[in-house]
Parts: sequence; structure tokens; C-alpha cells
Amino acid sequence: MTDIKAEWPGVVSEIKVNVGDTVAEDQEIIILESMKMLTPILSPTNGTVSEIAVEQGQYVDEGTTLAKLD
Amino acid sequence: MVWQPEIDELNERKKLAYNLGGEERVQKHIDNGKLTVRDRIVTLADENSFQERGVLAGKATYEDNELVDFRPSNYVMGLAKIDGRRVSIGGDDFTVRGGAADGAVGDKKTHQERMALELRIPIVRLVDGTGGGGSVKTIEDIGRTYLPGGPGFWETANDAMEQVPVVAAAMGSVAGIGAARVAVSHFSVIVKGTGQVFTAGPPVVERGLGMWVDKEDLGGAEIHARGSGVCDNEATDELDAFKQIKSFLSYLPSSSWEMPPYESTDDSPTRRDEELLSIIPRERRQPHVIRKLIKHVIDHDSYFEIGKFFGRSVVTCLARIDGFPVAIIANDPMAVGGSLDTPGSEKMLKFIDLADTFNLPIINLVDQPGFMIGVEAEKAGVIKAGVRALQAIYQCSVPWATVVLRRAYGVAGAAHQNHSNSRWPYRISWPSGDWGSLPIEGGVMAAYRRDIEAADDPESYRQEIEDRLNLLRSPFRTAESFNIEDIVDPRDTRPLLVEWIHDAYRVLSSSALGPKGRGMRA
Repeated sequence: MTDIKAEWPGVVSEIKVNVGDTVAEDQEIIILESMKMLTPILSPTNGTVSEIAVEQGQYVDEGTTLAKLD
Repeated sequence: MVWQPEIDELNERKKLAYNLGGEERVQKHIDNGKLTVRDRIVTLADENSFQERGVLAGKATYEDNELVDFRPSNYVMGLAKIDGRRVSIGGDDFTVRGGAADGAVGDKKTHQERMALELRIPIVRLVDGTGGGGSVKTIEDIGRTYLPGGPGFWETANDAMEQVPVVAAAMGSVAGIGAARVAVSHFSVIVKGTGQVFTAGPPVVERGLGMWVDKEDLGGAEIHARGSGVCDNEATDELDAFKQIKSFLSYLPSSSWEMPPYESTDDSPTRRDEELLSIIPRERRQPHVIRKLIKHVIDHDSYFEIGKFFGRSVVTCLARIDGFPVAIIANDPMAVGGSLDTPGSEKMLKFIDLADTFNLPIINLVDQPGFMIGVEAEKAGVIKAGVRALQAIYQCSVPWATVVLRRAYGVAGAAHQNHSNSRWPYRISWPSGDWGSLPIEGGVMAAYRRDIEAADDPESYRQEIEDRLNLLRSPFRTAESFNIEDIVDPRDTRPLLVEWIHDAYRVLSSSALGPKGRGMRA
């Protein structure tokens, strides 16, 4: 189980995966708009998406869990 | 043959020293995935180059004037060569009293540092030991407690930081002065899994705070190479740590009195990579891959990144341009949008000081949206860390070249070179240059709030102002007023920097080198 967290605050601009998807290390999971830059949040590992914890357009604080992998 | 008996005794005593802490402890050390201290030194150093000093130091036990037992000093050090260049190298022997400083016998550590200062050569510390007292057992041995401090390590640490390259590897659980010896360095690396750094280990934390924490969670690579920045880099194993130490030193002179070492390259000085023309996306909110961009500009056989996982919005790396070492600072839009936050500022400050100390010209590749904003950034003291980085820029005297890749906004946007009238700022911009005190998107509301709120249709009026201002945003308009000195074809960046680096080295080599008045803090 791996939590993918926001390392800096921003707004969820795009969710690139669905629950149940198999993802590879360094694959884009979420695009977070921060400091007017669309920064991809990458998967730290290979896995399966078990939860998407945020919605598009939502503001997230630093440390917020964005998604979970199994 | 007059002195043969003494030569025999000398060899016998060396053999005793080579036994380290005894077979059992040595085996346990190796089973934990660690090399012994002499193996570490000879693995890192050039073959047959290690000249040990103080091998005879230790605690001897005699019976009827016969040597019956010998516990060697747990600090092993001497002179060696790395890639043909002299270094002062030493390491703790964890198999003797856990590498604790009270097992050292004599002040071999300070001797190693003085040797480096006198010979003007780098210091390599392979740290695998703990603090000054090592253990409270010392109190029973000497029959008293003692006040910490006095002459010794700190006497030489400051001089070393401004005179010779200091590299440190955390190769075991290091606490107290061991941790300090890692931290007060120009480059530190922690071995993942076997290296931990802390002011005090888990038993002391449990007694002092009432919490139990595993040593890896307390001070492992995750904490210090990815969180605190206490260690610059992490290594996958000891051999990787040695590789990184070698690479770091290959860009640096032996001391601040010398020039960084030139290394010939087969890379073309006039190489113009086509990719550079499209590497910055036209859409302003799209990031680019800064490490890829850097590699299009530097010699293809160079690149050593420092602090990759700390202060990630700033990339700092050593590289070569047409064979000449340079220090490169760049902003990474993939992390915090490339903004200057507290860790990024701290990293930038130390890297500028490093370059200035060792006569490395600096190239700054700028895509800076400004200081990080928001509650967390304010709590982390972003403006204080940021102004310290700015001070470092204005204190530094090595040649400096700035390439504005894209954004340069606000006070942090100004932190791309020394703008004093006393300096000649070498600065070029790519056509993607985009700058100002405040970005137009956010700045419009701040500057025209009253007008916008009074408008019949505030949103369309805001957009109207924004569109009007965007027409003035072209960097060519800035160049008309000579506010940016030149806008260049991105493909010309390497050839232009090659010309510049030759000038920079000519200037440096005819300048008085040596320690800078500012000193250098870790």
C-alpha cells in the first residue's frame, strides 16, 4: 500500500488514472496546478490504483493524500 | 641486519592492528553489509596509494614487558590518491568500541585534518562512529566527567571549509561528533539502509523524549537525503558512495588556491542541439524537463548532481563546458512550479558558496516564478532563506553567466545574478523569456482592483486589461530598452557558453586565489 501525497499545495487540474488501473513507476497520476504550473505527480512505484482521494478542481494542502496504490 | 629484530616487531605490531576489533566483530560487521575501514579506504583510493599514518597507535597490554594484547585505535587514516590526486583520508573502525571517539588513541582525526590543510588537499571522512565520549564507560575509566569542547575538531573544521574540499560519507549509525563530521562538509553522502545520522540514537531518544523510534526512521537516507538536507546525496551501497565521492572531487581543485581541473572532452564546442528550439513549451503552464535541457548544453561526459531529492525546485550540479568545470544552478518547474522555497534557497546558498570557494564559474539557467507563496512557505521562513541566497549571490566573486530560459518574477526572479554596477553581468535570454515584478495573471487584480470592481462587467474588463498587457509581454520589447542585453537562438547556448567559459578561466587564472573573506558555513 502506497499513499501518493501532494508535496506542495495546489489545485487538482486533472486525474490521469482510474481506480483499478495498473500503473508503472513514474507514470503520471495527477496533474496538480501549483504556482501556475501544471506539475505531474508521478507514481513512486508499480502498482494498482486502489483509491482516488481527491476531485478535479479541489484545492489540496501539502501532505494531502491524492491517491492510493496497492 | 642490525635492526632486524625491530623490523620484525614493527611488522608484528602492524599485523595486530590489521586484526581490527577481532575476527568475531569483523565478521559481524561484514555480515551487516559493510566493508571494514581499511577495505573502504583501499577500495576508494587508487591501487597501492594508501600511506597509513599512526598504524601503531592503540591500547597495549604488557605482561613482564611482553606485549600480550593490542587493541588498535579505531580511527584509521593517512594519505592516498584518488584518480591520481592526493587526498587526506580517514575512517572510523566500527569493530573497535563501535567507532566511538574515546577508542581513537591520540587525536588522529585532527591530525588528518591538519595534514590536509598543510598539504592543501581534500579531506575524505568515512564516518562510522559516535561521539566524543563514545560511551559513558569513559567516565569510569578516567574517574571523572568532563566539560565538552576544547581544542580538536572544531579548531580545523572552519579552516577546512574555506580552504580544501571536505567530503563525508555516513556509513553506519553516526551520532554526536560523528554526525557533526558528516554535516560540516562540502559534500556528504549517506549509504541507504546502513547509514544513519542523528544527534543521538534511539536509546537516548527513548530516555529523553519517552518515544521509541527505529534508527532508520530517526536518521536514515529518507530523513536526511530526502527530508532535512543534512546529507546531500544518498548512495545505494558503499561502492556507490565511493563513486559519488570520486565524481564530486573530479570537478574540484585540491584547494581554494588552485584552479578546478580541466579534463579534455570529445564533445564539440560548437554543438547546437535542435531539441533546444522546442524544449520550452509555448503554453506557459506546461513544465519542461530541466535535466534534459542541461544535458543539451554541458559536455556529454559530465554531470554530477548534488542534493537531487532536497530543495527540488532548484537543481544544482557540477558539470564541464568544453572540459572546464562549472557549477550549474537551474530551476525545476516540475517541483513546486520551480518556485524558490526554503529548502531550495538553502541548497542554492550552499552551492554558490561552494562554487565561490573553489573558483568554479557559475551558470544559472533561470525559469523562476518567484518565491513560494502560501501559509506553509511563510511558516518555513521562505523570505529569510531567500534573502540569504541573495546575499550569497552578491558576496560571490567568481564569473557568473545567466541564461533566462523562461520566467523571472519578483524578488526571487532578481536572484539570478549580481546586478551591482561593479560587475559585468553576462546574461542572455531565450525568446521564451517572460518576466516582471508580478505575473500579469495575478497582478492585474492587485493593480486594477478598484477599476475592475466598478466596471459593468468586471470579468470581461479584467480580461480586457490582461489582453492589453499581454501584448506588451514580448521579450523583444524589453530588449529594445537594453533591459535584457541579448535574446539568442536557444541552439546557440552551448557555443556561447563555451566562449564564455574560456574567458572565465582566463580571468580566474590571473586572479589571486585562496580563501574568501566570508568563510564558508556548512
